[in-house]
Amino acid sequence: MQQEKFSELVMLTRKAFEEICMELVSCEFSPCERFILEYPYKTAVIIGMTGSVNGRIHLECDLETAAKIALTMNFGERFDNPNDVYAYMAEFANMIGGRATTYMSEKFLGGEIRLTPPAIFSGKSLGILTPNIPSQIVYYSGNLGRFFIDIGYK
Amino acid sequence: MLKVLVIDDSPFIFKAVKKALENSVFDVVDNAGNGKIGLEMYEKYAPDLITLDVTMPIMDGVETAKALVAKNPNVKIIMLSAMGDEALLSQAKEIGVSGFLRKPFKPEELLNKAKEILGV
Amino acid sequence: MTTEISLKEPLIQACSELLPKFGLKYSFVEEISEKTLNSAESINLLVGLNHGIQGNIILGLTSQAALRIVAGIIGEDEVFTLDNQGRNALSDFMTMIARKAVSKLEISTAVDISPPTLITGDTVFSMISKIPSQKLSFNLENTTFSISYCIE
Ligand SMILES: [Mg+2]
Repeated sequence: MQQEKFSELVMLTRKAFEEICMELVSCEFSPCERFILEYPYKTAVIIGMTGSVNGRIHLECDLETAAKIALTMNFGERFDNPNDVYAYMAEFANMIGGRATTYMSEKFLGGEIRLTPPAIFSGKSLGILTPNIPSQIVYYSGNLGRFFIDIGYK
Repeated sequence: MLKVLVIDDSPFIFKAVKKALENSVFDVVDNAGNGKIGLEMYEKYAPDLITLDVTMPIMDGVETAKALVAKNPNVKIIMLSAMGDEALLSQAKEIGVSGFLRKPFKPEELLNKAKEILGV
Repeated sequence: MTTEISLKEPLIQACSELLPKFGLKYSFVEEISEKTLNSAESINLLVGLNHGIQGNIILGLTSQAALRIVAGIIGEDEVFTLDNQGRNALSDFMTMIARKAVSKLEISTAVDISPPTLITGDTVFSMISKIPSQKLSFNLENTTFSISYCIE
């Protein structure tokens, strides 16, 4: 993919992430320096993209940040089912992916972009990579915690 | 009270719809996690309004909307989707969906849309 | 889209066509129904599906199974660490399994497959759908692997 189009796709995904965070949990996440999540338990959501854009969006944060986001989405009310944190994170990522692809199809007319259902992974010393896909990681920090988005397109 | 059925696989959206419509003329009666269950619940509750997700397991929103319109051509549906591209919007309109909102929606956006569709 | 399709037989067939090609002796054990949140293996490969069908497939490998498969693919007797070449081999292997499996489905629309993502870690949990998933387990020489899937 040409560098220019890649940068554009990354920019649109970042825009979608920042907007959804504002609209959904009223949290302003700003780009920050590279960091390493030192928490033992991390949560990652992966959404694949196919169609006129082939790639994936990978969002990652520590479990505490995920729990805070889910709790804020749930209007501050505790969950009856603790697994709902993951279901909420899936929907959070889905909204980001949906917004990003909407922007992409507006920008690059004439191609349908499709999202695969969000897959969530949580665990100790989690390592995630998509071989053979050029990607860019953007680090974010906000009052709900820290996040990174790893955006990769073929 | 006007009955609202939420057909959406996300527990978050059910909660958000309930919050948006509470203390109004609307009563959110239940949540169906997919279109198939949604059609059964439609028979059970005979809701005045349905909020309908697009991406769901088993039976997606587009198929569900078609099936609902086939059952009742005057059915009132607000489609809620994370995707908001033109293709989906025009498809929804063609099927006979009454309104479309992008996720995440603002509570007052949903309330106003619901009132407008039902003329209350 | 309305789905009543199972990936069970297509995945088992895909394995039967692919694994022997790489000199891997394996056997299918069973299919079990999982919950929505499940414990995963230490090495996992994920692909997402959409268009013809929507869903996710995870190939779950023990370290031993991952190294054995890599050795089979690159034509070595034994491999001791999972390096870049090994990760690429696993990624290609995952794409082959997914392609073969979906090609066996009797559906009219071609299925898109997202690029495989490799997920490693300790005590990993996964949720690939908001509905329960299915898990196929296999024996591979002295170890095991599994394929979990969910079609939405
Ligand atoms: Mg959904």
